[in-house]
Amino acid sequence: MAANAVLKPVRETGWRSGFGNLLRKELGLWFGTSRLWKQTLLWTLLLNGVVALMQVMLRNETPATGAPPDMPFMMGIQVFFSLTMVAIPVGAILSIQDAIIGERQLGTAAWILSKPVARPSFVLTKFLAHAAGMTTLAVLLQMAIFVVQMWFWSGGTLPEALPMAKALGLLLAHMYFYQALYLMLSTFFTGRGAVTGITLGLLFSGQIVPQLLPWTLKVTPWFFAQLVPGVMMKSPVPDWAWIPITITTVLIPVFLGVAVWRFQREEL
Amino acid sequence: MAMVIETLGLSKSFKGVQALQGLDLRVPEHSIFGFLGPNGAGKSTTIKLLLGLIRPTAGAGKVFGLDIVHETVAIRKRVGYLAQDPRYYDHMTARETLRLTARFFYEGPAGAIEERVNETLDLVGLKEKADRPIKGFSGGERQRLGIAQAQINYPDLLILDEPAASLDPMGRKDVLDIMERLRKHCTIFYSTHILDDVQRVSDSVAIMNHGQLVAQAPIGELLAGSGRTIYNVVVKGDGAVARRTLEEQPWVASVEATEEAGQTACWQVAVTDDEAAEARLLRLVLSDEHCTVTEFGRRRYNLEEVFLGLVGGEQNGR
Repeated sequence: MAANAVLKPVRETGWRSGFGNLLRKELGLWFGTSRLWKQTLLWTLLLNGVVALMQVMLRNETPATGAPPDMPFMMGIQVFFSLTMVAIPVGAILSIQDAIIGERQLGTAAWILSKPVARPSFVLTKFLAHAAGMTTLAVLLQMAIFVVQMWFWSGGTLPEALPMAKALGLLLAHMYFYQALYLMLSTFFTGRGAVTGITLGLLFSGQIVPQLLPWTLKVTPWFFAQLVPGVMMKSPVPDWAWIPITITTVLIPVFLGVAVWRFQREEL
Repeated sequence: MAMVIETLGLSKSFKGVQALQGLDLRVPEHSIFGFLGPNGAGKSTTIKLLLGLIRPTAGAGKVFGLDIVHETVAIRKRVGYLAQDPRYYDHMTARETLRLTARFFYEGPAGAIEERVNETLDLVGLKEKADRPIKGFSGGERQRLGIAQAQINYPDLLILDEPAASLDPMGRKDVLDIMERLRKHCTIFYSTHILDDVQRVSDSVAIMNHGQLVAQAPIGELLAGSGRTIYNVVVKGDGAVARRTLEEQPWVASVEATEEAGQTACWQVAVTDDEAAEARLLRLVLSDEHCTVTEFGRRRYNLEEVFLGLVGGEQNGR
């Protein structure tokens, strides 16, 4: 009972009730369990491993006549960022699958929400922790490894900082868009199948639909898949690029707002 | 007496099915309140409504005077809850689960949180298994952990949904002992269909059936019977005159002979005036010289009789 004198009731109130504790728990799942090294290994092999393999193969080949000397370097950038734009959203979608649907099915959501926890805290901490986990392990760490390996393969050349920063921002917005979308749909559907199908369907439609309806690139995140490698390669950016960037970025908080609104009406 | 839980016309329907209809419930402070009913009677629905896990379709409810729809987080700060089929994060240990739970209520040095966790583990006898993942816990151990997490904040109200349903007799005894230990600190509101447990520990009872409240009273009152009071009288010898005399009394509603063997007769005397019965019933029978009274007493019901009488012997509430 001595502890009683030292412990104070938590101060978080309103929509923030339970926020700190839940965020700590969710971050712990990313950074305090075996998920940390499993995800690190997975993303390193998948992104940087492919680039390394390609560099080794290029080194062993005789350069084509007239090929620019920085071709391996540029190809490294092209491969890494093209791969990243597909693999990272897919990983983000798969890793967030259990965030709400799984907890609702297992009954742990009802247990957590029988404590002084506000429902917005429950939803937002899921997003923040998954965003932080993927940002750290699949994006920032991989970009850092990529920079080091490109420096190594090119004999001292580094990718330029400004395009890299722009690409990073776009890549993150693209990933957060799909995470927020998945979370929002999780509050409407009870099964993973429909939510995963819709989200992955939207992602992969970006490979086909714009070929039939080019205008869709202007209003969807599909343009990001071309934009990010283009930014790194210093390709010209169309003057309407701000439209899909703005739409995608604005939709992230909109999706989260809808998720919070819907989850507050959820019967557990 | 102050009420911890008060509901007025509380109702809930799920896709057109009425799970709870116009519930008026009053749970007094510091009581152990048994919430009885067959499966599907609306017990868990009521509990979920009180905790804000679902929303009422009609009516209102208050816990500690706070509204169950708009002030649900404030209510849950003072409540401990054990679900019927409690689910926790299986990868966590009991200690980690309690630490997580404690931090929803308290902030302070990690050492103080650990102290609270250890106290709670002690209370439910889980200290030896505190650092094992919950995945490997037996049903009884899970239930103990459930009680531990429900009372780690020293709640003013402990809500237990079927706390002993899945336990063997020893596990049930443990849970009831823990409830007895906690009763001096808080109000305990628990649902169950194990009537023996209710009779053993509860001081007030509500009985639900088909989503409706069919009875609510202190357990003594409920066991004494409702409506007419019945006296059991066993007489030896010829009791015909005495029986006729009783039947002529204006406060006697009926005299039924339930069993007769040789010279012994057993009467059930239903009375409409308790005071008159207490003062005169036994004297009237004794005044007849042709018989002697071998047993006399006010009939005590057991909870099973009361329960089955109220819910009509149905096994399922729906």
